[in-house]
Amino acid sequence: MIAAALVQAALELTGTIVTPQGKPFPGALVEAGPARTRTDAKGHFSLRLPGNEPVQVRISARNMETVLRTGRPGTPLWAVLEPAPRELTVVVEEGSGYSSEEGATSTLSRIEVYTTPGAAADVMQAAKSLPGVSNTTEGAELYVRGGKPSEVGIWLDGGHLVHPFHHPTTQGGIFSAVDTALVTKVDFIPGAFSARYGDALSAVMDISTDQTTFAPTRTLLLTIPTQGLSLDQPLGPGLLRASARHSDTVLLDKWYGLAQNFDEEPISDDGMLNWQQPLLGGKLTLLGLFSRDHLATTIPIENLTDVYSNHSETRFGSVHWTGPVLEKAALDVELSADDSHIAWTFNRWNLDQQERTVYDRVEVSLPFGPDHSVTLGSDGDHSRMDPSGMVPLDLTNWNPASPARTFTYGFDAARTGAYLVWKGLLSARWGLSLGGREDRYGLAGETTHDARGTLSYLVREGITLRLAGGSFHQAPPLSEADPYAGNGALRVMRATHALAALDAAWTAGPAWNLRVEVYRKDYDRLVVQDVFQNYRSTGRGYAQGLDLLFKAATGPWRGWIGYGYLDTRRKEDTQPVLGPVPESVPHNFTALSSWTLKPGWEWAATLRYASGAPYTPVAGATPDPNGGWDPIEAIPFSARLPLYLRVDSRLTHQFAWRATRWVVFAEVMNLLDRHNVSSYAYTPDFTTRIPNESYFSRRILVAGASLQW
Amino acid sequence: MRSLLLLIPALVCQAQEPSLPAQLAKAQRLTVDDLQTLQARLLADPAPAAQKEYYGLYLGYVLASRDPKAREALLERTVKALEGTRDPARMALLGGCLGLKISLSPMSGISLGPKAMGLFDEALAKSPGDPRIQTLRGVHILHTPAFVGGGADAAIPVLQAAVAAAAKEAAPADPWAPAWGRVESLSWLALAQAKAGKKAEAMATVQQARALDPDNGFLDSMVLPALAETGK
Repeated sequence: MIAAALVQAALELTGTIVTPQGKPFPGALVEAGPARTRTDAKGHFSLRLPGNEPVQVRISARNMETVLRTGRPGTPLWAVLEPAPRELTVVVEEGSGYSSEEGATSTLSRIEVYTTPGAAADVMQAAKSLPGVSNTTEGAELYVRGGKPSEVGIWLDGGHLVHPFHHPTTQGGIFSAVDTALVTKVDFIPGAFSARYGDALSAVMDISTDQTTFAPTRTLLLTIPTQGLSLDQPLGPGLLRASARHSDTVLLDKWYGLAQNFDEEPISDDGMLNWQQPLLGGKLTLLGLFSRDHLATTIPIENLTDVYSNHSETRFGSVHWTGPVLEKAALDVELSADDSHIAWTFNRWNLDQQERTVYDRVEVSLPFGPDHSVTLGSDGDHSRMDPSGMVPLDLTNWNPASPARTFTYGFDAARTGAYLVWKGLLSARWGLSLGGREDRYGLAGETTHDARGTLSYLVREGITLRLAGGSFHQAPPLSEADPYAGNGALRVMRATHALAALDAAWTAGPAWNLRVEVYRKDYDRLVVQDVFQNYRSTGRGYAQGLDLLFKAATGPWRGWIGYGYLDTRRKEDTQPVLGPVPESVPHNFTALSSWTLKPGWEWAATLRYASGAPYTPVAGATPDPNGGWDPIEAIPFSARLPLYLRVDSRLTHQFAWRATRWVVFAEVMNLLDRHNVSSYAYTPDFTTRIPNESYFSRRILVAGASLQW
Repeated sequence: MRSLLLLIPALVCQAQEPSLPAQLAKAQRLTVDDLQTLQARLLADPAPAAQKEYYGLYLGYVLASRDPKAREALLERTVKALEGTRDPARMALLGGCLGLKISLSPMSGISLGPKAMGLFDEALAKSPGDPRIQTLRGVHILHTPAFVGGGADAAIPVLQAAVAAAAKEAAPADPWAPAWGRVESLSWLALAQAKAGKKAEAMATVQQARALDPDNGFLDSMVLPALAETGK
């Protein structure tokens, strides 16, 4: 009797099936060859087998992932039944953008920011390689699909970063003040972006320093123009992240004749301090950014050659908390302040300007089941501008004797907004996001309404089609909405976006991905210079074009090609009719090729080609009764600069030495030694035109190392 | 009657099955099938969740290292659960998971490699005699390319230190406390020695590991093939 029981036990397969929470799973079907049974209320099962050999067991249940296991009679089998992965579903997006997240179809990965020759490890310089961003200048400012750099909203850790550049010009600056060493994620959305982002007409760049892995690391950067130190240091339950950089280009400038003399060396410094701390079930992130720079050098502007001196300083701070509330909702609270000071002098002209912006945002996200979510929030900013100085009334005429515009006052501007975004799956293949926002602009006394949406369709695995569009508003630049020297009654600028994008990715064999996108943007209420009112909101414009990005990698090689075709015309600034403007650069092409020569050695090259940007030629000059010469300008933007061509190449070597990990590189910028032209200057009487060459207009060898420990 | 006698050892073994924490401590030496059984048993075990947490994460790491098909999903889940941890044992597990993530995307090694080493170093500074941290650190170095300071030769002294630390460690009073490492440090050391071409030393280490665990599956599936490769 006992023997029979023992034999039966030895030929029986028993087991227990549990849920991912460890609870019994009743009713699961357990099959081993022809034998089958279902689990009881306690998740147990028992199967009688013909022999005591191991058998394959199939465990299944409705909506759960089937499990295949090996069962051994006499040995209890335990298994977890997990929910079946949902059938392949489309990713619901807002607009059409690029992310630095690994795995995203179209990326601007952190590695690419660091290793793209010519990008100077700068997030914004790297973004310039993407199609849709015009190579209007060599600076880090982003001209996106015919829009000016001021139309790109830049967010850093949720705060609004108004002045992110070193050596700022009216449009941007040569590099950004955000140290890539602390950047963990970048989202760049050049069209039809979410209603979460207000007061931006063309594009948004959302940069994050959120670090989820609290590990101590230190990185020292030593290159000829830049030295820096960055660190991650866990302290108690929090993480301290910091970086400091110092850049002095005087050696490069002198070696390569980029500038002949300096009355004050071109030096820039920046630092970032970041604290991340678990708090109240969520995460608190504090961020401080400080940057300053100065230079003084003799340069020609139009027909005037003199010493140009520039000092600028930016302080940015943000407090950001995000965490769960009321069980399923997520709350996001943000407060940031940006304080920028710029002072420049050139002959009799000078400007000393302080600009402060305080930005706040409160946002709640509510999921409604696995397929739908609603995000609602409010945001606002309050700006104060204190300009003092004197600039030419006509910015194309720098004759010291010409009429001036003077500033000796301060003024405020404010905006408050509210938004709502719904994202949902209509089916496994169709996804939709719809958003709307309302903004109240204090200076203009105007309330604006925007609606935005993106429809996504999953054609098949790896191929997604998106249609997106919407309306966008942005206040005119403060320098133009200035109620004293500008026009305080300017209207809020408006744009509409429409785009169709196809994303395709292939990961087997040679991995590649492709994005093709066509778009159309229409603008109105753009700001036009006016003799009587200084500025008027009577401008308009359009931009249409095609962007193409193809990336591939196979074995030791990877590369990509980006091409953007742009047709844009605007009636804006000094362009009095719908015509070309400096942003009208029709062809932009970038190609990168990178080879791993052997482990630890990589060679990469980048080629950049762009049509020349339009400029307004000078047809002649007349003597000014007060002295000097005044230019006679031809039709605005009726000529083009020569085409832009640049090849950069870099050799990188990684190795370890003692306890440090080294990355050593040598880079030849402008390998072809092409003297690209950025603008033209003139002799004092405008009889002879002199090309102003772009900053990287000589073949330059830069080298450096970073060591990490 | 004869068949009954043949079946008795199996039934006796079943009756003498070691405790769940003791079996979890052997995870690296088990088959994927056995690991999946342990995973289910751990979930169903009535011990408090906080007590079971370490071994749950450890199983996630071990399964991710063994099951290429499930690696990405397992790592995503395990890394998410470990993010921001300040506990040295868990920091080392996170370092191990980051090392496995590099295998999914080798380019990510530029940023994840130093991060993983930072975690191991800090964990070791907080808990210097922990053989598990040293073992995981040694495993990471073993799989790191030689040109950035990794490889078998660099891993050997780290794993030797892990072996020494494991030999000194007393069994913990809490059955759920992390208790693996003695056999694992020897097994990984044997693998590193085999990969470094040190066949005699590897054989001696294999013998030490076998003495502690005669049924060590890791030695059979990983070390012996590497030794055979060395002998060619």
